[in-house]
Amino acid sequence: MQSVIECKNLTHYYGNRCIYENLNFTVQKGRITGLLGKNGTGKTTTINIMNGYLKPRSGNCYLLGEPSHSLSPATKSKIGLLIEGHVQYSFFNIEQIEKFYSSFFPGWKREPYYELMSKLKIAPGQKISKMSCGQRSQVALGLILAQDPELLILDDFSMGLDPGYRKLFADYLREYAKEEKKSIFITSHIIQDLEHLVDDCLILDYGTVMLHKPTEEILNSFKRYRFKVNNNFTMPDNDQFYNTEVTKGMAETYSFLNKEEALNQIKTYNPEISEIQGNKLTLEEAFIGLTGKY
Amino acid sequence: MKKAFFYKEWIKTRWFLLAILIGGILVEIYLFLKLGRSFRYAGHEHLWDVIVNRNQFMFHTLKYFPILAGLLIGVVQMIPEIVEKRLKLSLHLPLYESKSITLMVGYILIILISIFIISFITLILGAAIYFPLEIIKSIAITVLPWYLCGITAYLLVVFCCLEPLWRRRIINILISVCFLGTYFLSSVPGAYSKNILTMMIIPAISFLLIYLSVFRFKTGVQTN
Repeated sequence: MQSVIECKNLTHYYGNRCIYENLNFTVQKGRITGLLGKNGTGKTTTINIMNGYLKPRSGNCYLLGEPSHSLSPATKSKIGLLIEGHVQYSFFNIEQIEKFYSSFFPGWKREPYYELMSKLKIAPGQKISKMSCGQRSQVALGLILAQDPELLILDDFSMGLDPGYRKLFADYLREYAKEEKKSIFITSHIIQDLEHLVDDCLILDYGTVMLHKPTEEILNSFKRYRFKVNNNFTMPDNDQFYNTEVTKGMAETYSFLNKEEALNQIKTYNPEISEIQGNKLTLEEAFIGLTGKY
Repeated sequence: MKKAFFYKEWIKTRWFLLAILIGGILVEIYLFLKLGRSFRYAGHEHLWDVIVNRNQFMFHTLKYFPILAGLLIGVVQMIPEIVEKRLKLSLHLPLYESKSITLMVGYILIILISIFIISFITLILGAAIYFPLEIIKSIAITVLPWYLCGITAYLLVVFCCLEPLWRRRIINILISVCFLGTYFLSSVPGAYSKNILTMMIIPAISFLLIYLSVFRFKTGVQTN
């Protein structure tokens, strides 16, 4: 499958602080990929490098086959960008901004933009600076849809939005991406918004890509296991269980192993354990299970 | 695309450009009312003595109009671009970044220079009613650096605003103050008559400095 984003050996430091070294990942065409990670793991850094507004210390990032820091005008026209906070030119009103952007994109489709605007119930002459954050998010989304890009890069789309607008944004986006077979790279600090939106999850941990898997696979196979233990129980370091915690005689751990495999594995550490409880997880719970609470 | 860029800048700056134009007209009306009053109350002979023998300049009030106009329009144009890093939007438009910046700056330069030309021609034509050619030439050569200063002021505001790091921005402001200061080293009429070309080099350098700020913005020094 053709890749639309390709990051090769990305390394970046802020001063002496290493954000990551040799980060590698690719995003396939036609997929919605969510970039997840705790604060400080390098999500914004990655987005900035991807958008061409940050030069990595070493390594390369390619968007539609071109280096992200020196995109040609033709490639830029195929990439829709949502800047964190749904930033747009706030001195325009909704008609002026549509008129402005339409001159730059030959395949401009004004219908989806005005369809979204009609839902906002605002006067066409209203300035963007006078709109609420939710309304501004719809303007920004409408403009991206009208641009009809091949690849959409959306940085923290849920920032400042109430649940209604978040859902409206996510639903509209998913429907659009599936109908038009678009590739989307998206971040959000509210992981539950991504659960029904993203096809693939790319989870960053401090300095590395922790996981890059289809969302469905994570939701189906990553589970939380709970079992009774004595207070001396400790889980040895291994790559099959994540973030094991013991509280008041109850152990909690996370794993991609199925229940039987998990039980057999845990028995090797403590033969007294005879029963474990496994739970399916939401994406947010899975994220916490993978990356830990702290 | 050029039209679209100009449209954006027009929407953003139109009222301020109009204010500058009206401000320029009001300054000149004031200058000529004042000049007419001087002719009436001080007399032609006395005024001639003041201008020719005492080397006094009758249009000093105009001195700060171009620089204030340049500073104002630079701030009005650039603040919306740097707040929330909106410049990213402009740089992501399907054009080469250098072209986007040139169009943004070029639009204001065209309008600002047009306003300055109107102001300059009005001044010269008005002065031609009262003064002989030699004095008109002296007026022209005296006020020309002030207009160049206005253009330089605009370009340096852009240079300072687009710089992503505050500590570097302060250094840029200090450099800009030094650049602009060279236009105010002497208030003697025609003091810059031998240096007009040199005074034209400063806006040219200021224009190039803008690309340095854009380059630094693009490489992401704001997050270092």
